[in-house]
Order: sequence, then C-alpha cells, then structure tokens
Amino acid sequence: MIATQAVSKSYGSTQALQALTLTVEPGEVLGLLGPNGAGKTTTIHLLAGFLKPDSGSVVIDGVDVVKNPDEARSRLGYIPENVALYPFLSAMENLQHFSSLAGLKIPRDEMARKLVHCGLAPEAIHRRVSTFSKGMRQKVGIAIATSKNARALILDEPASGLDPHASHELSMLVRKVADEGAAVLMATHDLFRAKESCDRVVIVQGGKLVQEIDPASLSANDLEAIYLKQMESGS
Amino acid sequence: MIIKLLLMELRSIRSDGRLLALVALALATLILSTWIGAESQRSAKTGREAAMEISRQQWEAIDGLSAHGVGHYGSYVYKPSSPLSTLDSGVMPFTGKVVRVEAHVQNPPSHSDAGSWSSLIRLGAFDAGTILSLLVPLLLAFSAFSSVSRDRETGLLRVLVAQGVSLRSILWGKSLAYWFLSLLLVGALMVSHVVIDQLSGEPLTTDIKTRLLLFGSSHSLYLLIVVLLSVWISARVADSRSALMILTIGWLVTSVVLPRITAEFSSQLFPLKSQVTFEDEMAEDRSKGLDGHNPRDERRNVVRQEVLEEYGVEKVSDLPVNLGGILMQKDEEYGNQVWDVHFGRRHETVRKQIGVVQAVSFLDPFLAARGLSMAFAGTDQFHDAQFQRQAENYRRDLIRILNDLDAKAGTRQENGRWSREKIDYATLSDFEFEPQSVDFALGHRWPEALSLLIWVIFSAGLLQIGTGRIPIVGGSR
Repeated sequence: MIATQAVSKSYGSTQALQALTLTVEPGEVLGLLGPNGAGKTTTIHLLAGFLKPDSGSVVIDGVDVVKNPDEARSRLGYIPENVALYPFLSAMENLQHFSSLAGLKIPRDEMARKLVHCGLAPEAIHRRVSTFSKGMRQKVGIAIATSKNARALILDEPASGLDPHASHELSMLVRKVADEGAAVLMATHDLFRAKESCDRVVIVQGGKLVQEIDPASLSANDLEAIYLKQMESGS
Repeated sequence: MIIKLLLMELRSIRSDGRLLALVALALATLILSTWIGAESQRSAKTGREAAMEISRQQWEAIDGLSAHGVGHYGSYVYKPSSPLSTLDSGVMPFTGKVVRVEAHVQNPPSHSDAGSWSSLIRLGAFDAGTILSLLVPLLLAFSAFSSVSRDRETGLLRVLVAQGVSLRSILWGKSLAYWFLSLLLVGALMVSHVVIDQLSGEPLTTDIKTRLLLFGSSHSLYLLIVVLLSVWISARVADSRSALMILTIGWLVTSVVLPRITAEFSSQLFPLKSQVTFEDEMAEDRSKGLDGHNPRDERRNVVRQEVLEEYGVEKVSDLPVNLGGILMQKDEEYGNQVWDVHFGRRHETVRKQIGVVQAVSFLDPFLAARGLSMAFAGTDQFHDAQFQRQAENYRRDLIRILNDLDAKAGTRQENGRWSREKIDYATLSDFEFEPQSVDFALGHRWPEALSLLIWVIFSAGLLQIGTGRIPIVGGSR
C-alpha cells in the first residue's frame, strides 16, 4: 500500500503540498494528474524518501518513509521522468548493476527477457546507453524499477519520451505489476494513458487534491473535460 | 555495496578521457620530478665528492705549517643530500651546503642552491612532495567536485537511492575510487623512486625504506582528506558550480594563503636575528664574556696562572708544554659555549616558529602534510640543524686535536723557546655525516601526524554521520 496522510511540504515561502492525503491499495493503479507545479513530483519525491515532509506521514507497504527510509525504499520501485543511467554501460550492464545494488541475483537471460519485455529491441540490449534515445533509456529504467518486484511502484511521468507503442506497452506493464499485487502511483499529464491503466485518478492543483475520478466510468474526452474544467476553476 | 559503487566510479573515471589524461599527466610529472631530483642529487654528489677530494688533497699537501696555522688554514665540510631529497627537497635548496671549519670561528653554512641563482629562485622547487601536496589535491578537487552533484543533476542519484543504496555508501564508494587514483599516483612514485635509486646504485637501508613508506603514507592520508572533503562538498552544496567554487577557494586558502600568513605570523611572533647580528653578538660575547664582565684578556690570565700552577713552575718558559696551544684550546672551549648559547637560542626561535605552523596545521592539513613530507624526506629545518651541529662538533674535535698537537707535539729548548714537531695532517679524519633515524623525524613532527589523523577522522566522520542534510533532489520538484 502507498499512503500519504495530511502531508504538507513547502520550499521557502512556496507551499508545494497542503495536507495531501492519498491511499493506493495493493493491486490498484492511481493516476496523479495536475498541471506543472501542482505538487505531483513533490509527492513522488516524498514517497521515495528523497524529501522529508514538513508535516504528515508517508507510508510504503506499512513502513514509515521518514523513520525507515532504507526499509521503505527496499519495498519500492521508482521510475523518474528522465531515467539516468551509466552512459558507458550497456542496457544489460546497467540492469545488472542496479539489480545487484538492490541485492537481486537475476540470471542474464532473464534480464534480457525483462529488457525486451519492457519494450527494448533485442539488438539494443548490449549497446551502450550513451547511444540511446530518451525513450530507450526510459525502457531500461522501467526494467530496473520493475525487476525489484517491489510492493509499491511510483512513476513520475513515465511515458515522457516514449513512442505511442512503447507508451501503450508501459500501460500494460503497469497494469500487470498492479495485477500481481503491487500498489502503483503514476504521476502523468497523459489523460489517455491514465484512463488506459489507472483504476482511479486524482487531480491535484496548488498542492491540494481537488477531485477524484473513476476513469472507467468516463470516456477519455469526458476525463479531459473534467480536467480542463478543474484547471480553469483553479486558475 | 561500497565495493560495487567504487568499481563503477572507477569505470566512470576510466570512461572520462579528460580525467584519465589529467591522471596520466600527474603521474608523468611525478616520475619526471623524481628523475630530475635523482639527476640533480647525482650531480650534487659528484660535485661534492670532487670538492671533498680537492679539500683532502689540499689538506694532505700542507707542509711547514704549525698545528695552529693549520687550524687557521681550515678545511671544508660538505652536506650530503638526504636520499629522499629527490622526493622533497624541503628547506635544503635555501640552506647552505658547505661549512668552512677553522679555528676561533664558527662559520655558517654557505653555497645554497637558491643563493647560486638557480631556477629555484624564479620558479620554486619542482619535486614530488610539492606536486603531491599542492597540485594533486587540485587535480582531485577538479575531478571530484561534481562526483555527487552531477549525479544529482542528472537524476542518477535518485535512481541509486531508490534502489536502496544509502547516501553514505554512495559517498564512500566515490571517495574510495578517487583515493584509489591517489594511491596509484603515490604508489607509482614510490616504485619509481626505488627503481631510480637501485639503478643509480644507492643503498636502500631499512631507515630509508621506513621513511619512504611514511612519506607515501602521509601523502596518501592527506589526499584521502582532500578526496573525502571534495566528495562531501560535492554532495552537500546545491550544484556542481558552487562545489567547484568552494573547492577552488578552499585549495587557495589552505595551500597558498594560510601557509604564507602562518609563516609571516610566526616570523613576527618569534623574530629570527639576521646572520650579521647573530655573528656580531657572538663575537661580542666571545670578546667580553657571556655576562659582559669577563673579558678575554682576564680569562687568558686566569688560564695562564692555572697552567703554571698545574705544572708547578713560575715562568711560561719553564712549562713542558706550549702554553699557546692550551690558551687557544681554552679560548675555543669558551667560544664553543658562546656558540652553544647563541645557536641554541636561534634553534629555539626556529623551533617556536615551527611550533606556530604545527599549531595552525590543526586548522590546515596542508601544513601538516608539508611538514611530514619534508621531515620524512630528511629535508626540514630540524634535519638541517643536525648538519650544522655535526659540522660544529667536527670542527671542535679537529681544532682540539690541532690545539693539543700545538701544545704537546714538540719540545722546550734550552733557550726557553718551544720547538714544534713536524706533523702528518693526512692522518686526521674527514667529516662524516651521521644521518638521523626516522624516529628523529617522528619525534619532531608528531603534532603534524596527529593533525593529519584528526583530519582523517573528521572528514571520514562527515561522510559517516553527516549525510542527513545532503539533498537527493536538485532544483526540480
């Protein structure tokens, strides 16, 4: 489970989050929608323990992130908007290194399958990632995050830079991870992908949760209309 | 975990051609400086041996001079180079290498390299000790300034932390990787020194090996401090640019500004008399007596009376010895006391000046590293003072032997005049410098060693317990 309880965070005089409460149950995918500066990335960084909240609590799989960040991170997979990798290593070597840092021992053929499963072309597996496009690096990052088989997965604009096909595959992958029992929180701008893969969608603005939506009951156009209406009323 | 991160950082360094080029340049510079040092040492040794041979030939050719005359004729002693001066020339280029030994006078060492208008005056010393303590830290700071901040800026730090890697492990992995580079440089330098020494046939005694090991260890510890602080600053400050600025200013202050201010401050606090004043005061004390109430003539009359009483005669012409030789030896002994007092004061002043530098070394580890580097190379002020003491002891022994010969090698003639025997001066031995053991260096430089250890503990402590305020996320939210 992923949970934030009345979490607030400010940067100097700027209030990034105001008493934000979210819960993502195991097997559920929650989409976090909002404009730039709404507090999506701050929420993700708080959940990953990169930042400490000013008040409130953040819990991953029952572990308080502030009190036990290392333990919480061991139960967490994280995919940033721009996946940074070691440019002088191949995709396989990057996956190997990051997996070993997480204490995982994955056979090489399984790692290769994982990379292909995450959308990387087989011929790219042994290429240096310095030659990769942003989308290709993103796929390696997804492989790294999901190889942990974490109880919680948080994604910060994961489809950024992915082509439509890879973006669709990512949605399927996220869905699969959730179906296997993980709680997934995905910050995104992409309403279509949110509808495709999320069980629930929350809209945040000015650091506050302004609306919760069941995307299954709406068309993509309806979802967009609701989102735009919220943005207009908030601006 | 740390080993994996260390190996990855080394691969990262290896993939950066510019960094590799800098390391290769530093390595080449270090080996080149050692080779140049060995060549100058070989050249100095050849020159010293030739000068010693000429002095010996001149000494052996003395004919027809009385022992007292030979005392005035004098001789020269030559300071041998410390075997490790090829690594750190310390204060030796600025101190004299030759002492003229003669009766009645304690001459200061002369013929320094700096005094001979060498390139030293224009460019300063080019030795491994200077490169390791001055340039390599700068190279390390330039290499490590972005080690963490760059990863934060690219987002790699977040990916690493999200994988469950602690910040402490990341910082240690990076630090140890850069320290490994430093150890490579220090190790290569030590090996090249041993090889060059062996090729030139220099003996590698246990003391030299110990000194070499301590020389390398002290520099390695200093470089560890530099690396730990560089990585910590890279982690602690907001961005790479700020880290580079802080490290550059830090290097400038600790390696250039503070050492000079400290040297100036110590000189102001404990001023050293000029050589002219030193010699004038010695001459005055020798002439008037140390307390100013015991002039030379009075002392001579007292000695004359004592000798007459000792031999139970009333006139000098009845003495079975040459009173002149005895008087000169007594005068020498008095002059020796004067020198001991003045040289002791001078040495004490230098010791106090060094004490100030040693105290400041607890604020500035560069000073600790420099002090230890010179001490283990056997080229600091303490080692130089030992040469002066040994040269003076040799002079005292030589003049005492000559005065004894002047007093006793001869016979009293019937007319009361003293007839001297012909003396073979070739039998008198040459000066042999007794090098100081490494214990001598440690005994004088323990404050710097302690300072370095405290700095290692402090900087390691920063990495170990000071990661709480290190930002994982950069400017983005």
